[in-house]
Amino acid sequence: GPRLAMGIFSVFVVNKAGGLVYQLEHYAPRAETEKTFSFPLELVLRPHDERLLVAFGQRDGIRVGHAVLAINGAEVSGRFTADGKDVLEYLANPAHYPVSIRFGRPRLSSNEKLMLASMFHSLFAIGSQLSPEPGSSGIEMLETDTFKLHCFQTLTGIKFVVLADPRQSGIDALLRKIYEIYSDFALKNPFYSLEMPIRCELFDQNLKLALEVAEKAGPFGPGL
Amino acid sequence: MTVHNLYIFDRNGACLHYSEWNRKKQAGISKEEEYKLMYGMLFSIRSFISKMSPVDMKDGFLSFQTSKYKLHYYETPTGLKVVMNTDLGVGNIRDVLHQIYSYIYVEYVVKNPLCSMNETIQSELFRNKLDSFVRGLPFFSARAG
Repeated sequence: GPRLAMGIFSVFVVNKAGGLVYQLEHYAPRAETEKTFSFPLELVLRPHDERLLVAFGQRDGIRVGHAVLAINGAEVSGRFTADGKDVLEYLANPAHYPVSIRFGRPRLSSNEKLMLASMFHSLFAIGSQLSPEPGSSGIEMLETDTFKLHCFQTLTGIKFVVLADPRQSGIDALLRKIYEIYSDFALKNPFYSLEMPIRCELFDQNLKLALEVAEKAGPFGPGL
Repeated sequence: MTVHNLYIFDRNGACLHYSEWNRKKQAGISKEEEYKLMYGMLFSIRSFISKMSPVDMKDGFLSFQTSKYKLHYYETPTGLKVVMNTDLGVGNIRDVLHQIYSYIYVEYVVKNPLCSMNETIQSELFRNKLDSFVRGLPFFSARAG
């Protein structure tokens, strides 16, 4: 499209057992929609994983899969309003209308990130097992219409995963740079124990810097 | 360039068809198990990417690649899934997978009242048409070296 949507969305580091040891949200394009509704609501909402999601009915930027984020400006916590009422019950009462509801894509919880990391760990292995050619690695790149996932697995089995805009280039170099930063700032930190979550300021700082440098390379490769 | 193999799944995960042209490595499990593993992987990928995507998706999962092959994926709104493995040199072949669905599956399976849905496709005609369509693709032949 005409919109300049490029960049690096997030970084995951997965240990050789499939455990998430590091995660960074770099850039998340937010699209939230607020709309005032009268009774009855013309969307079907259903509870899913402690959230209230749009199950049917798309209008004015609200899409299936979007979660209820706030009611009358007050953030909801999961399926309950700020003052502890069940959101579905609240919206079933005509006396509460008109009501203003804010919708948006649900953010991943830390537990979901752990789950997704171990899910990718198995997908990576199955991708290699089902290979029609011998000697295949696991999934190195996975492409969708909204993002590309790039994965680099080290010889020791650690996976560096970068989610980026499909048009973003220079990711292979970035993955190797992240490996270098990991070796320099996580592994050489005397307080870091292997396979455990990485909590190290220098690693953070250098990683963020590397992401910014990679983004400057532009959507079609280094402009040199 | 080359085409390794092709799977067609229905929306319930049943493998309707499997063809193989140039496959050097077998999965080391029975074909039935392999279909289940493949479907399970695709099903997990769909769920994985729908959570991972930072924005709302339209087409969803398109392909993945490893160091040796590329898996292309196409799903219709009715849940039929066409999966083709090729070498890494093949670009976006979404139109080709759509043609397999619309010119071959719809023509020779859906329009054949003797073909029952949701089970392995027995039709010889479908098999032959699919085989000659894939053999006619510009990226079919294995390049020497």
